[in-house]
Amino acid sequence: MFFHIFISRLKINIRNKDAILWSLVFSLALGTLFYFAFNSIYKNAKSTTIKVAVVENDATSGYMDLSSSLSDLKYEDGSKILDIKKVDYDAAIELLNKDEDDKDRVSGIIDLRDIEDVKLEVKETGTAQSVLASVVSVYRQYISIIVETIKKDPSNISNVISEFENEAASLVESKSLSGDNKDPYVTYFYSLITMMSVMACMAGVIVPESCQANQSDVGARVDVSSVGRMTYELAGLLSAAIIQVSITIIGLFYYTKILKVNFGGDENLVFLTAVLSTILGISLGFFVGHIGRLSQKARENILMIFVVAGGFLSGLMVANMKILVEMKAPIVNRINPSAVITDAFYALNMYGVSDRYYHAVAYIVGLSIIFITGGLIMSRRKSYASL
Amino acid sequence: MQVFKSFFKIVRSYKSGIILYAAITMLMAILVSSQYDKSETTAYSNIKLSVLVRDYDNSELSKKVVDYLKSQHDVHFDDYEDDMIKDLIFGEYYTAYIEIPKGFMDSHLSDNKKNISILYDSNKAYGNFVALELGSFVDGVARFENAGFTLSEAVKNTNNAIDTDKFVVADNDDEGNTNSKEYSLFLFLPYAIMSIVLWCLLPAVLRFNGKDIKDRTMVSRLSPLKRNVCLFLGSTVVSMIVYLGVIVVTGVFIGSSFFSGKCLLSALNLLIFTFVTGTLLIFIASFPSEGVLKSRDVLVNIIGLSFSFLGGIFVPLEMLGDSIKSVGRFLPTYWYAVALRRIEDGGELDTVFQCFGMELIFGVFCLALGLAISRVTIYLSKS
Repeated sequence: MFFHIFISRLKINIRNKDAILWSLVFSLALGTLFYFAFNSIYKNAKSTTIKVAVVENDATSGYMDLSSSLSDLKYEDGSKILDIKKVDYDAAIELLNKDEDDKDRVSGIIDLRDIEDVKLEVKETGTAQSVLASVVSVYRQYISIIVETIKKDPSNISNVISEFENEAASLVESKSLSGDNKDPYVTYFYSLITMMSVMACMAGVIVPESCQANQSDVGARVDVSSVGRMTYELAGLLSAAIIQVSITIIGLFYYTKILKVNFGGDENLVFLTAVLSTILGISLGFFVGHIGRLSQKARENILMIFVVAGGFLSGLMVANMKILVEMKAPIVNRINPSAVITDAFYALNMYGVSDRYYHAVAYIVGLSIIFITGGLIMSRRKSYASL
Repeated sequence: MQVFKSFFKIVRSYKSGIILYAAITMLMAILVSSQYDKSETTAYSNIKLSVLVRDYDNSELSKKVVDYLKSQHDVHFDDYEDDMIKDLIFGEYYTAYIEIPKGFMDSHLSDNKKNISILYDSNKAYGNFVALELGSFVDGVARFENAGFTLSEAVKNTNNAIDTDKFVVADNDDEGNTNSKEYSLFLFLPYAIMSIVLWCLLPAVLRFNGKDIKDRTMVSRLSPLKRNVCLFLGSTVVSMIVYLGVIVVTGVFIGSSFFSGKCLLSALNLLIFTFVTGTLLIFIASFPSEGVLKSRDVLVNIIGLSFSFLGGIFVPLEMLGDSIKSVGRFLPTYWYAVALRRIEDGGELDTVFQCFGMELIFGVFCLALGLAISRVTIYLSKS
């Protein structure tokens, strides 16, 4: 009997083409939109080699080998900080004033003509200009040390210069953030998969509606039949899960294999998490479908809170929202299913298979069991004096 | 008139949904605007960055380092667990986390020194900049001390050497964009309006497009044009009621500054957008009702989210790629966001008139298309 009902419910679900179509459109269209919207933001925020013009004169050219040591400066990852063009001042100004799109445009001019007063000339404020200012300030420090030493104790100058050559390692130790994909905009994809999963609740809520006599004609017929309600509901849940999980997997497959979005962490676990999350969404709908004798509209409203408000708080609309909630009211992130699902993907990316990931998965699985069990318990002994 | 009145009767049955949706979306808008009120110090708006600092040394030198960081950046001292710190840096809430270890000052000139650690995303220019800047100051002080200067002399000389006022020549002083609370709130409101209007009014309009009701209306003496106009007027009136509700909540949240020219112009912008949303509703409702009604939740989310992302409601326009912006230009949310940006930058009515016009063109297009599709389906069903 279970198999028979399962096949019937599966056919009903498959014939609901509009729901399947729009769910697919939701995941594919928004995924594509996110891909094109956020693909370049992180790349643009990356450290790039800054084009700079260096102006020297005959007297200062080669002094302390400043310009060549400038070109040797490197970021933590080993890439060069500066791309130097040695030109005269007029040519440097021309390069500085070029259009933004011009590949020869420089971000600033390092003016080494007066070695005691090294200047930086820029056209605007920005990251590149600030990095240049930091670089120039280091050279000004060396010059300042020499000048101040000459003022204070000229006899010490040779010691000071030899100290420069034997300079100890920096007092600042850089540590880079861990994680497979450090692009913060990947969280939009986490939130999208999460929303798809939680939206599966709309498929879950149909299961109890289809076997409650006060909800639909089919429900009335099922109610008077000899089929056990638990058998009917479990078969209905399984068929809904197969459709919804397929939709989620198609969406995730599209993101990871076609759009090549790097979710970070083990890809198999990403798929497993998405599948478990979809089951949580269905079980949520199943549970809400059993609460009291609520009308269909009231149930939709309750589920809408979970989908829209939960999605918002987990960072679907504004990526920082989850962090803001974590700072102000962390308990919300612990109990909001959308936030927990998003956190499972995030933990997998940043920390791999860790305690944090296990906690999130345990919550997803535990809550699914509670919702399904709760729903089944509530569905028992429901009888109707009149309809 | 009969259609107009019936429309309101149906809408009344959805009032709990309207109130609930309005409450949720307004809460969202208020939460977002509270967050963005601090945006003048976030990574993408200004070179003054948010940095988290922990000073375990609490020595003269460490205090000087903290003072220097305060002079350059927006420094925070909140206490978080290690995982949370990583989450905050990943989410770009802070650019870097700087930890000054105990014993830093005592050991900084010795061979066995305890270094300041800085955690950041090494891929990002901002993180690298903070690390470079911090290194420039701390190592600079150590260099002066190694050259025989006292700590206070070393700090003073380093500060002199790195004082940008003394060596940076800038043609112009671009201060970057800072967003006011009012701007952030008004920027999020189109999503609220779209969600409320589409979610709550779509079933009501679609009810009239159901086969039975539509057929009954068509055999009456009411012309198809009058019927469609009544539906449009009904949805417009309800949209305006939603708009008034949203504006009242916004006014209460913003306070007396709501009556400033900026806010009133922003409110006018939202009014036009609300009208356009009403026309969008008519367009969507002109399609066969059964399929649209069954997929209402997904459909409203697709439209609400995609319009908001493409139009620069959730993510600032300047951060979006050119391809996205070129698609966004066809949407009213884009022109709403552009108009709001101009208003925020001090623009008057004449500077945003073109944006209002573009929003209205979209609305007229939706309305014309919706009425045409509806007319054609009625004609086809008759034949």
